[in-house]
Amino acid sequence: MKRVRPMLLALLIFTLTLPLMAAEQPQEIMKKVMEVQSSNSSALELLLTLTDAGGQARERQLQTLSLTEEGRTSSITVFLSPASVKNTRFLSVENSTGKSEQWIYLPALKRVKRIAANEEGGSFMGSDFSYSDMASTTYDATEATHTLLEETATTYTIRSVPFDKSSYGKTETTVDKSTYLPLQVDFYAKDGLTLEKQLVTQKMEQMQGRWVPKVLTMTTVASGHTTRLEILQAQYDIAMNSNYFTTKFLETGRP
Amino acid sequence: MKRILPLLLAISLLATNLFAFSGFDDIFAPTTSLDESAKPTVSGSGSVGADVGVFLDDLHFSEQLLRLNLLVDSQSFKSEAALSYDALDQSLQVSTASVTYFFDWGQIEAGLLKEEWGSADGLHVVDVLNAFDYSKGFSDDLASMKRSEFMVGTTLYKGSSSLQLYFKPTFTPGLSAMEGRWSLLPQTLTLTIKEPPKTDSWEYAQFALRGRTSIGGVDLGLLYYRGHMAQPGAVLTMTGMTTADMDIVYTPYQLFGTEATYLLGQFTFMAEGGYLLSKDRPGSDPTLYNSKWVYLGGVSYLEPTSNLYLALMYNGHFVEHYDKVEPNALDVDQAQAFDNKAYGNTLTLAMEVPLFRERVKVRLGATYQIETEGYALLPSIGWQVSDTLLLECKAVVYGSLGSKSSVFKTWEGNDSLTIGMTHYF
Repeated sequence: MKRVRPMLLALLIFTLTLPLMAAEQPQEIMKKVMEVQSSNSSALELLLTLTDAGGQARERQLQTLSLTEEGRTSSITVFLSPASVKNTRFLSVENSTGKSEQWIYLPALKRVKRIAANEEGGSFMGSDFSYSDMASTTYDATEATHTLLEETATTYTIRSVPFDKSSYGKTETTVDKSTYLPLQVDFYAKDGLTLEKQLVTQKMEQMQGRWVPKVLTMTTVASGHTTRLEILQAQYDIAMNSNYFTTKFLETGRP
Repeated sequence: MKRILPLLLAISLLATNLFAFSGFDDIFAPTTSLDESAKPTVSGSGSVGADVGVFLDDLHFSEQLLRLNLLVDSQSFKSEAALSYDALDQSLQVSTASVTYFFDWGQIEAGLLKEEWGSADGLHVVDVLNAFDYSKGFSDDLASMKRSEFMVGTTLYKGSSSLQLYFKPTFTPGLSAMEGRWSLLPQTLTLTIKEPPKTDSWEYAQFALRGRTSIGGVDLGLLYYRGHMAQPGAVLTMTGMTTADMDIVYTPYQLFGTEATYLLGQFTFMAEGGYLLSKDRPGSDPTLYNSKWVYLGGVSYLEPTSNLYLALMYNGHFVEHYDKVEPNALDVDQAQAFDNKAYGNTLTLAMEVPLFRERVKVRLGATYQIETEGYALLPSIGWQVSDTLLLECKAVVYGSLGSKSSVFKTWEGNDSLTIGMTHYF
């Protein structure tokens, strides 16, 4: 079943699994990466630092939980800062058809609103990450052709050409052989030639026995704008109150 | 009203033995990279701001406001207050002040509240819990035009459904200016208003009920309200050629309403409808409003790449027994009618364009009343200077495409420009 992963967890998985298709070897690598990274539940606390070309920085901090039950994944994201968006909450629930339903709670209006799923190129919170960057299923084995471009003693470099080029024409990913984490992902425009964005893993760390990219930086090449994503906390396969994934929690902030 | 704030503060202090909700505290440990390694037992946040506005015709101030919003949040209790000080009127107003208690399957809140009913974006026809204040014209922030009212409400949740119950012991009617540039009264008529009804009595107590659920992708709500119409009716007694005495009366009525939204791709379809059953069912009393139907339909679109938001809404009403209105009886339905018709139809457009990675937001609200050919334009631009500082510039333009009388025509000279600043903490 095609899963819509929670946005930021999905980003991590996406970056792990992007490039490893086409030939048999990349497929095997991807399978291993998926096995290592998959979990029934996860909790991430993230800090996004948006820096423009002039060096002015803005921060967004958020927590996101995801839970997969009976093959359906739900996620809830709470924005902690800046103060202007504090307590904004975002809920995504996968329905029986595999599509996600999404709601947002706007504290200034004290109102829960069902919203259209934004799964394309729109910027996530003004960052260099688009909503499509957060969707892990975009580039699975059935949605892109993958070619091994280079293999060194420590890395694979793989080109991925998605069948649906609504977001990118191609990506090129360098994967660390020892951890199966991406060290760098180059995102090309729809023409497949223009380098649009670049994602670099700046720091990897073992959290609860698994390797995760602790710090990532996405750069938009044309503007020089960057977004640094740091995982402040991560927990996997933990017991989680399913009441978090309800419109009641969205409205009240209480499970 | 002044007693409410100390009460809120007292209740907030009582809640200090509880821990705050500042994220998923049962899962995440306090993060040392944050500047809150020791989390407070109760969290506080808010904003402070100031607005300065001028009328474009004579550059007189239209607004000088200081705003303060406070939130004290704990696991079981939440207290909020929004205050504003109007330097022109030299008055301190408590916009909202409430305390909420949360329990496993719901919440109870009490205080001066502003509630929003209806599924559409901003504009509603079934949003009856709070009356509007038109004494300073229109604003793109409709919530700011609402008059808060003391009420006790509870919300009960079950799955994707909820039930809201509200009790309002008193009645706060709508407000409009009786003199000055915002007055809607004929300038040739001098009115002497007799002592208005005491609406802070049990006689004016109100009750409201709202049930919401989701059925097959449709968010559906049913609404019921029993109270008084917010706009006043009147008994006019002419005491001279240009003078009259006015007795204000409020029309008892019940609302039976519904609301619905349906999402299809990037489009959201919105609908609201209701029947206002007046105490004057035959429509024979000129001092009371007749029963009427209200309806709204709209569609909004969110462009996924740019996050451009567009919404177009239609709303209308049909007054029953309008044919029984006697022209010389000074009937309130006739006084409120658009171009002396039983019906009214209005189109509203809303747009928001985020730019420069959401640092800048350009907004436009526009409404056009078809029968009277009157319109209002409400453009604004907001600049998020930093994570804690927002600058906004708003304008309001009133006008009419024809010569028919309307609120927009009356306020043609009241175009204004407002600059505001908000600091979040």
